[in-house]
Amino acid sequence: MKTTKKMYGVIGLVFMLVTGLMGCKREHMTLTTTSDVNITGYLDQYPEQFSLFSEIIKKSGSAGFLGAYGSYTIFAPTNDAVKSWLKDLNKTSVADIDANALKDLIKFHLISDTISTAKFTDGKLPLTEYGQFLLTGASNTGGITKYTVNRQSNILQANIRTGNGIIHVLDHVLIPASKTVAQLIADNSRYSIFTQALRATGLYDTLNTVNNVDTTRRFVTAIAQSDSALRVAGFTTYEQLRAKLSTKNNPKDHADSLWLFVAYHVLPGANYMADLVSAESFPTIAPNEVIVTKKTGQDVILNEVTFNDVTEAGVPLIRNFSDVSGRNGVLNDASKYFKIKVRNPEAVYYDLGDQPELRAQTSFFRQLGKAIDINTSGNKSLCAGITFQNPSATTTSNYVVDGSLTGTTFYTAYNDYLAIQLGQVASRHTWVQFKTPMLVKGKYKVWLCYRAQSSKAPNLQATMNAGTANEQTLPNIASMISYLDASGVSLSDPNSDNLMLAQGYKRYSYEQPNGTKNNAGRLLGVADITTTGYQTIRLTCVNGTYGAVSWLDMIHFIPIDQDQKSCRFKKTSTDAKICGY
Amino acid sequence: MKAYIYKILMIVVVLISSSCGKYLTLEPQDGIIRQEYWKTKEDVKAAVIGCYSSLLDAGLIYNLFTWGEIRGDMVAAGAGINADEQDIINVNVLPTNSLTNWSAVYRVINNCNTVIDFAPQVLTHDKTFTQSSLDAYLAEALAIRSLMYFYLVRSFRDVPLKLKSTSSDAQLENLPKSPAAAILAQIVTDLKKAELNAVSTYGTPASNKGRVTKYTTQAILADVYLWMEQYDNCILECDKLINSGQFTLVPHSSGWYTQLFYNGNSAEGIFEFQFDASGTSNPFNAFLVASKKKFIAGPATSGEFFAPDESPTPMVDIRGEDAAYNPTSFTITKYSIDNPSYVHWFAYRYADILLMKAEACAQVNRGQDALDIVTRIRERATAPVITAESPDASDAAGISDYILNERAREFAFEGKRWFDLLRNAKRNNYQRLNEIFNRVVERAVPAARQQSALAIYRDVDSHYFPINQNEINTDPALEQNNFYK
Repeated sequence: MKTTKKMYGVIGLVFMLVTGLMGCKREHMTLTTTSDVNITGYLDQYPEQFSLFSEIIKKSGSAGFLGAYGSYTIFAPTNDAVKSWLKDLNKTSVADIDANALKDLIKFHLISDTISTAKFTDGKLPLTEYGQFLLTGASNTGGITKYTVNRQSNILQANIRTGNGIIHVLDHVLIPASKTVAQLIADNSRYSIFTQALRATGLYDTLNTVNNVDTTRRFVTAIAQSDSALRVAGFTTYEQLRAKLSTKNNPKDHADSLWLFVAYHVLPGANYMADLVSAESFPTIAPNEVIVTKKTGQDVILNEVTFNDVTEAGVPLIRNFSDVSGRNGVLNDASKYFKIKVRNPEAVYYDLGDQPELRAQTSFFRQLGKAIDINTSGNKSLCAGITFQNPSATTTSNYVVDGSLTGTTFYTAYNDYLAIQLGQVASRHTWVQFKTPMLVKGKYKVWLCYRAQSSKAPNLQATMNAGTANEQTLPNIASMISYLDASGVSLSDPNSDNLMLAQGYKRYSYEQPNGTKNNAGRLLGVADITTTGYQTIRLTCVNGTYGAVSWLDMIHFIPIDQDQKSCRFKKTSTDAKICGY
Repeated sequence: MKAYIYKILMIVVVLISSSCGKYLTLEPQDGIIRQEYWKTKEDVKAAVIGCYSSLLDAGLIYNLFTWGEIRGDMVAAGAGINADEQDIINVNVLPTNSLTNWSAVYRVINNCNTVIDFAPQVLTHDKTFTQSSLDAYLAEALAIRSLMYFYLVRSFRDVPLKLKSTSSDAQLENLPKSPAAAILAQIVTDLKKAELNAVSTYGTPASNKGRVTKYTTQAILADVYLWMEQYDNCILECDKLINSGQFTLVPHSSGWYTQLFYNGNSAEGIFEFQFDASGTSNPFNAFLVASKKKFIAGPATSGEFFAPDESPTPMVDIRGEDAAYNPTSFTITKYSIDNPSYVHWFAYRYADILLMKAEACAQVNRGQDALDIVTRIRERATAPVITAESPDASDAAGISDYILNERAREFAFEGKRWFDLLRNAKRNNYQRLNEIFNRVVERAVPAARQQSALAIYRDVDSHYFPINQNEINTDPALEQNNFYK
């Protein structure tokens, strides 16, 4: 019995020893949620490619945040790239370079966002930490196309995803621009006349300022005029240019035409060619003057505009000399001499159905009895010039052509009009906005011309350039159920035209008999257009949900000092304007 | 007593466990396994029809449409487009782009491979199954497989060439890519074999247009030869179809669209994927017609290819407005605006054969023959003078461009545009690469990306899609297209 007890003791001891020893074995537990490495971890994995860049990161003190949580895009030059960069600097190793310089280098290769090559355009990427933009593109050498960065380096391997961002591998170190836009122009013999004009007007300093504090004025774009372009226009020396343009004999005076000429060539913001084709109107630093752009084929063309049906030839940019990055912006090159055109305000009679997209469709544009949905069943506006507040609404948004030229109560200009359901309810558009034709700066009376509804149509109020600094709401409310006699003037009165004008109403239809009242022009207010160019006008429903459509025909912009009621419009598809009333 | 209990217990255990025999079998009770299939000729027929059914897969049709159209200049982005689709329009494709997923195509290929592997063993089980009917079934599988590989080779260039079915875990393998030339050679061999054995008719129009006939194999072969720049062979195959007397162009009439497209299986059809009211509907409504559509007719479609005739007596191209697209909403209407819609996918129709022959003729100094064919196609469509071109009969490049434009009109949104462009661009060692792609880029790529797109297209590797990253991850033997490395 004693021996069995001893045996139990021994067995227990052995058992405890075994379990105890087993307990000493280290258990493997995964403590991380992913085995993905971060940017620094990835670079460390491939020392044969990135040891020098890793060294730069460490010496510059960037290893901490590049190894931690975040979302970055880093352009990583290979060892060969760093070696050739060191050689250019006459240094033998990274250790020879000042830590602050390396910090700037890292900042120029770093963007605080994850950007794959799918987001690359022909233009700029989001701003680097260094404060200069990187320009992307693609170039082909010997049949092989690579993405390029800043025209300095090819991307050897793109879109390496790491835990905290994306790495693109470069074959050259990126060097930030060292010259300001002013210096780029002055140091290029191509622009000798323009440089003198810049210095004379004092705008050289504007283009020479690296203003890192006020971010809104951080970047500028210069559209330089080359000597050859000026020569074609008859200017072989700066003196000739000054003699022709300088009206106050003081180019530094902001009212002097030479100052305005140069200022008209400077745009706020960094606008590469890809940016210039992405919008169509750019303010310049010449007060209230814009440059308009368009793209034809592969060319970027400035100031090709149509005024009163006359198209003025534009100025193409020269691609080879454009998209040059400076420390504070971009230099582009115009192929021809261009300056601010002096224009006087003229009346603009805007037929709302006259949109380029509709005009291109000869099968229905101003064809009797056609009606088409310009909001494509709630998909999106068919016309770039018409914006609906609620593009996904399937509410009526039609371009309509009346079915008959005679014996109708629709006396609409050119026989067409827009039928749009406006109302303050989710299923309708609260507002509709139109892009106007070119309007020269000045004051205009704005008239909404419409076909009145018998009931249930909304009250509309107009806002010019909504959402911009020049936003201006016009005071009068046009009720779409107001017939022409809502003015209180008897339509049969021989003096009715003048009496109505005093009440803010006018006749605008040529065919509408004097006694009838369906079509009316309503004064919305006086718009003060400060900048020559395309404007927007938004018609907002100010109350009610409304079932009836608004029949919108035209908007007239007539300079305040001109006769407001002189022109009327026929139902014919062309030559509808008859003036002299 | 104890012994009794034990004995009784043992007997009970034996009885219970033996009654559980079914529970231990591995075969599924609600399906048929391969060893029990492949016994009768009906089994073979059902499997072959299964190959056709897999052609009606929504994912496959989406692949064929997007691969063939969205890098071209006929479609534009609609409101419902997603980022991957937009990236392809932008000529900015990454290996992670979901449109490069080819699994629907390989699924069809595997179905065909299964028939090719297992149908022959039925001969030993079913004495009423003849060698000739086996060969006819195999011809169908070979032709469908060839068509699928032809789509792959034009979209990806080098792809894995899988000719055996994957029917068990042991057969899973990591295949490397085969060069395009090897795949094309395999396609030609298979199609020639199929042509020999395929039937000429099944007796009903639906089967004649929906299943592989001799003519189907000849049509695919003509297209393959044109791609391979073997123009005499292409003309030879086209002439077989032309001289067969089986096909005509559907003549111009008010019911032209209905007859040719809406109803389908017309005298012009050669091979059409048979969406049918009693079976499957086509997937187009969801991304071409419904609200928030992915793709609409691009500006060049109405502005250039179907430019309105402004003469005093205007002619209307029957193929444009209201047949291919709606001129006011730019909705692509070729596959009808019905929901559900049963309009077929038109793999090949007779007009294609004629224009393929014209394209080949232009390359072998038969310019006048080519122009005559184009005239015939245009007369059927009442194409207006404004879209007519007049290249000299000796101007091969001019005639090719004319045919390329005519094909854009004739086959608008039928999934052929990009392949037509690429075939013309790559001809004679990419002789006219820039001329062809400059216009496409100017028309279709957003303004801020055109310069990059042009540079990218100058690298011929970029004309082909990357292999999807998932495939690269799972198959280490696959090597990514150089452009996307």
